[in-house]
Amino acid sequence: MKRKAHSGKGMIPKNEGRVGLLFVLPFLLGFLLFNIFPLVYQIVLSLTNFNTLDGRNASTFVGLKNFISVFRDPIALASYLRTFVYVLVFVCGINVAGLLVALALHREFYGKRIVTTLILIPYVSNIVAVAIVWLFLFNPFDGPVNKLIKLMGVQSPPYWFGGVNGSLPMIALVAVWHNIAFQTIVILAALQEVPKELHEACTIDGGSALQRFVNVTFPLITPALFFLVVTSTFEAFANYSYCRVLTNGGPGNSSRLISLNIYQQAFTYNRYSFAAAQTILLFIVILLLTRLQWKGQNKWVYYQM
Amino acid sequence: MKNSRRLFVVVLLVMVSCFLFAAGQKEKAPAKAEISWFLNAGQADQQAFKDLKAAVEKQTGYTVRFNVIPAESDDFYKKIDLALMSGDTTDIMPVDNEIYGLKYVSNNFVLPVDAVAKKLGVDLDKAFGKYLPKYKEGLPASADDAGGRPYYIPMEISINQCFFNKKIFDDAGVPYPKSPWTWSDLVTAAKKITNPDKGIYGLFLNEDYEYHYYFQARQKGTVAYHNGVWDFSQPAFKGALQFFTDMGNTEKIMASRLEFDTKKIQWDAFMSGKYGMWIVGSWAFQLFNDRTTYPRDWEYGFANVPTPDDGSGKVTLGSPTLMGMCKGTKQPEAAVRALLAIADNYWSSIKTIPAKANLTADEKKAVIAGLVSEKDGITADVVDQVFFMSPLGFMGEKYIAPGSAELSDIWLQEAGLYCIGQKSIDDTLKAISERMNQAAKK
Repeated sequence: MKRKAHSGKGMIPKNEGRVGLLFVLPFLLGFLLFNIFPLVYQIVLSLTNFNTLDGRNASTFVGLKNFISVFRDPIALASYLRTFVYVLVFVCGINVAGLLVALALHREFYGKRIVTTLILIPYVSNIVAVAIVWLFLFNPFDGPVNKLIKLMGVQSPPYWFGGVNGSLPMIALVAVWHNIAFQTIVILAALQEVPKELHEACTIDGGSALQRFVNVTFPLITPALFFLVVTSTFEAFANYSYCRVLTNGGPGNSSRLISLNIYQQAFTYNRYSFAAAQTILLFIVILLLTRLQWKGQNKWVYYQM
Repeated sequence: MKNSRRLFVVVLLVMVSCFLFAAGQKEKAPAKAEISWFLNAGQADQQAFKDLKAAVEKQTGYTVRFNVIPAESDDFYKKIDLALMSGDTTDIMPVDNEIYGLKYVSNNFVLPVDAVAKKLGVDLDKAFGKYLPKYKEGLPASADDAGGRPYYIPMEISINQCFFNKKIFDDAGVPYPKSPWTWSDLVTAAKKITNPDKGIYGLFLNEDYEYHYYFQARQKGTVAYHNGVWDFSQPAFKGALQFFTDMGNTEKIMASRLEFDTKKIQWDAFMSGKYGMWIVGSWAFQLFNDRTTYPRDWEYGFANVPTPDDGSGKVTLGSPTLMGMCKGTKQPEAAVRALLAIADNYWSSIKTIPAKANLTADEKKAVIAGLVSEKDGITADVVDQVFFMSPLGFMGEKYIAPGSAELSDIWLQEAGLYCIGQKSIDDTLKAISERMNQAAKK
């Protein structure tokens, strides 16, 4: 069968292009319906006063009023700030910990398979089960951790999840522990791609283990690290389940993240437009941060040609 | 290439056909009127509610269908919100929290029932008296406000009682609680029965219900919302909050707020047998009657709640369980008939207190008989003394006014900080007032 001549404008012949479009159509429809349409609807919602159960027909266009209300709401602003702190702690924590664990697993040692399995188990565990275990372990009254601390002579051990200062770092710790397996696997795969000849050459040149890591290993795994930093940032901003299950934003509002605030505004108080405005602001923040991360990668990410 | 294109088109056609077929299916119309009723999954499984359904069907001649929502408490209402906003046509719904009641009225999610009730020849004021809530322009209206309209029919009235574990009292050699008594009497008794070695606390309170934090202030009739302003800085609220916190932190007769939150103590923890007393609404009778879910080797008793030490506030608090007609109903007359039938049968099926203005002697006997428990030594006299001969007045446990939707969360957040020593009591009450005033404006 003769192939049609190329139009000269594109690489793919027209009939192939049409068939290709048909094949991606189911995904495209789903993407439009479940991703694009809700996003557009959120933007529209944030510009109206749909803050009751009265229905969409009763709402009117109010411009940026909801966004102004967000900046006037101390609880919402504090939630954003707290979320930034959480993101910083989580992203740094999970990627540094993932790197250290991957480096440890990159060498051979006795019981490596068991250790690897133990690292993977939390990743497949249910968050509610994880929360029950951690709340039990760190119960300030009769949890084993505080009992051990008291045995060591400390009379007033921390409140952990029950403390105003401890609740947010503890949530970050649980989230890091629960998800570290993914970072470990990705970094481990990147480590295994680093050519051994480069390490040997560095050793021959008199480089120490630290110099080998800084000058050979780390640059070559930066693409994987960059991917993990970006994805863990999304994950941290979207965190709802850990906060909800472990502390429900308490004590007081000390661990109230913006995702929990948005949920409560929308589904407890039925302030849908106000919640939508907070969501759009969060989206803008994540977009700007991701843009910064992409621009910043030139400074520290090394891509092999 | 041609075969793969044909295959793709065939698959697409099959998918579209299946979708159209499913969408085109119509349910056959029922032979007689069918009343649909929002109900949570837990209640739908209970025999008491099945009995109630049968009684309503017998009385009205309708078929009753539970529209089961797989959620409880706040999540139950969140799902109902979404259903009603989506145009759901369920006929009737329960409202066990007056704050939700106000929300649905102010958002026109429930319809007034007086006009239809009048058409059916029922005088709602005469039937339900002070238990019939009324609303005017989306806000609660007083009983004597001519413009107020009823949107709900009360099914039962849950009156706060002090339930107690007789075994714990017997083991400690302490007499059972008996009205009239004060909060100090409660603390004294609780101290005697609290046994840290056995893990027993003298008192259990649901510390995630905000009204416990200002219980005594409410008993004294302290007004929190006046002339459009929320004000919790009054001495009564300070005293109530301090007393509540001291019971956990200082007297150690109940779990402190920190312990309650970090141990995730459940709402029905009293049934574990590790607590001496439980101050809670009379809806809790259902738990004591349910020996399948809550097997126990101890007997329970109940008494009126204590009152403030200064002799004021001789009331108990409570709230009605309401049911209303959803805005999406296509058959308002049948819906109201069903609501009235449920009101007639609710208390006898669920074994609770009817929210009726004047009980006949036979109804009173039936109520008492429903609450008698020979296994627990609850006699008809005991029930009569506590409920019908009680010297205590009655007051609603919740403050219902603009911004009430956030009252619980605000109180639990701010008072929680005071309970764990992170905020002074004055700053706490000031913060609650400020946040409630902001909430009222939204």
